[in-house]
Amino acid sequence: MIREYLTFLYRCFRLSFVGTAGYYLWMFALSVISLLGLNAYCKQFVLGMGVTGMSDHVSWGLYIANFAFFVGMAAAAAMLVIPVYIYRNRELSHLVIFAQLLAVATIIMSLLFVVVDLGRPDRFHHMMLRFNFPISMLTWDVISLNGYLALNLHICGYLIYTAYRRREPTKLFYIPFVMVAIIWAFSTQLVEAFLYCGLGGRPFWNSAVIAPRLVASAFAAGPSILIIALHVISRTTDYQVPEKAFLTLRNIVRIAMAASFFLLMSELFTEFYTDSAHVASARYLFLGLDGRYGLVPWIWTALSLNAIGLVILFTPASKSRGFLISACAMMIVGVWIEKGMGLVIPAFIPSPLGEIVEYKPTLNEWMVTAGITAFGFLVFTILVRVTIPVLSGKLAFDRPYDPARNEGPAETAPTASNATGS
Amino acid sequence: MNARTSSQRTPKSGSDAHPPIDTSRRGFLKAGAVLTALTVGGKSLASDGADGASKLSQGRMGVLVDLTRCVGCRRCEWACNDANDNPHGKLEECDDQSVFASLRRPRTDQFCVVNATRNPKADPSPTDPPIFTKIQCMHCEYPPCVSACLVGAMQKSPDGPVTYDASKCIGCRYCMMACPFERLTYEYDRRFTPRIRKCELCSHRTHDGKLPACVEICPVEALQYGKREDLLRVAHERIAAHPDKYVDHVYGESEGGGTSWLYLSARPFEQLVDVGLPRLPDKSPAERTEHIQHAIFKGAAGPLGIAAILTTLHFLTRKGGHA
Repeated sequence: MIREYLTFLYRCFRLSFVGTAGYYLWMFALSVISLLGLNAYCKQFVLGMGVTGMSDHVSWGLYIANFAFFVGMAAAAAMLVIPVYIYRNRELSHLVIFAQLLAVATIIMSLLFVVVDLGRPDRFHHMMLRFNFPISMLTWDVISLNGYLALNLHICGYLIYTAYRRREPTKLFYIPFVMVAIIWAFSTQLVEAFLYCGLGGRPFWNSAVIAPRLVASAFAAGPSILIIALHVISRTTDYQVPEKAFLTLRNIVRIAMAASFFLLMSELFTEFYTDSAHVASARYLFLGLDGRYGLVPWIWTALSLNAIGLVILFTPASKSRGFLISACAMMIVGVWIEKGMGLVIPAFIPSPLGEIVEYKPTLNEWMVTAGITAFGFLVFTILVRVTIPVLSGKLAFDRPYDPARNEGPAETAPTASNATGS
Repeated sequence: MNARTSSQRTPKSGSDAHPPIDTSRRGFLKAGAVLTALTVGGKSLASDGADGASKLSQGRMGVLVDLTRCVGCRRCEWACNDANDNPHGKLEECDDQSVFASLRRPRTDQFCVVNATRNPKADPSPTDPPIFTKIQCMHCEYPPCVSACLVGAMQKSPDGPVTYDASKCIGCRYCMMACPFERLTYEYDRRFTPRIRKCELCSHRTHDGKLPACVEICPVEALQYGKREDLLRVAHERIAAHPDKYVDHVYGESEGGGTSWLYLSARPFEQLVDVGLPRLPDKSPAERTEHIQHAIFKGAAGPLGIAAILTTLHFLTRKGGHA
């Protein structure tokens, strides 16, 4: 049994190196960027963290900003799991796997962003040895993220492997995990929000609305990435993604982004109407403070992109793929800025003692970021590359598969999707 | 119980059979029992109070800083560097008053700094002396940095100081986020082995019965080392004896849940925020957050409980026994 599983893994490994010319180009570009990022990280490791723009005043920067964003993307897998498993929405059933594969890739990215932010990554194992649980909020984050990764790896791995073995998956081995994963997805974002709002010394973060804002913006940007990914999949492979799936995802994004805006308005009102001590950081972010305007263009760009994207989604034009993709891309960038530079950085400015020390990421930081992002895309591409032939029945344990030859549609292997629908 | 349901049970055979799920009354009762057990178990786990608060010893030590006595000689800075193997020049170089032109913060090679603020009257005369304030790690009673550290590198020792164990630190800098006084510094420019750097109340000296270096060298006795409860008593006695000389408030008695470094001042502390004494509520953030975490998330009771409910609902609401 182990040998069969290892054979399966080996076949997947080989398959990930085979594809069209476009596939090779894509993978080559991603590999190059990943390696450049690795080089930049080595520079940081060897020269010290001074090569970043971080300082004693702004001690968390671009890396943690990206971490926050990509954890949100992972949580968005729940947005597909809920309709399928709780509401029995059949159109999306086979897409759940893609959403969970996206979750796996984005969690890996988040963990990598944490590792590159650590001053002593060689001590990563200390988290296992001296885990200050349950006192430190960061330990909750570690459990939350790794648990979510394990859950999604198990669910996807199990469903894909049973499809490969041409047998029906046993409900008990994945349904309870799926249900846990739904709650766990919310909890990853909650715990992350509590990382921030659990610190009394940073008034900007001392807001109850951070957790709902993180959840709402995650559920806007996550399905957006999935829409784009599914569009690319339907264009580059022979896997058919039904139109209804795009429309359902679009609806999810609409509502989540509308909720995100509502919460943003709520936060802005609270900050600026009463003009409390908290307002200094918000003022720095949106209007500039004492002649420093570092983040102002960022946040307004983000809000404009989100607003335009939202408006497009509410018009019938978004039924056409081109507009839909543009709106999604805009919102992904907008949420990335809002969650990253717009949430992590302003908390440090002004400092607890009232100083304004601005933060600007260095080129090295950007390269490490690009490298990790490219690596995440690489992982996701490989996962999808391997999953599609398995789901369509072409890659199965009892038959050889030569991807170079188009064998035509094979009989569909019994998968969880079919089983769920019955 | 429905006799038909029991006869429809398919025996387990190979990997294709799923365990039969019973949607009859018995199934519901079983599910209910599981849920109840989980809820009760979860509640009992959650009922523990906050156990993160450190066990503070009655005789824990602190330092009383009388800002009316400080003359800005900066010898404490020199002594601190000398005692902690930080680079420093000759003692006479401390007389350089030009450093007071700008506000300074603790650095990786300077754990304590003295800042000067002009006597904030409407029309300050050049002869008005500035107010000098020495700042360093406050060694809080309920340190947020200790609560934040995920590997336990920051520890509150029962006799007062908050210590840092560089051998445990992974460099995540979450402690720096948590410190409401902005006293922690990080060695960004050090390759391979960067550390957090801060005042540690000269634990290496006090264990040998010596005074902290800054306290020992202060020529005007602005710094006094002793038991925190004694220092508080002394501070309030001083205020009572000279009510015109001191503001009736001991900074650090309750700020942020209380700190080991206590301050007396002639000027209201609101005027000293810039130099490093921020306004803080009376409770440490760490106390509040630990209590919440323990109550809600103990043993992941919350998430798992809801997951159990959803799983049960899923199995109960299937149509016709299939899922």
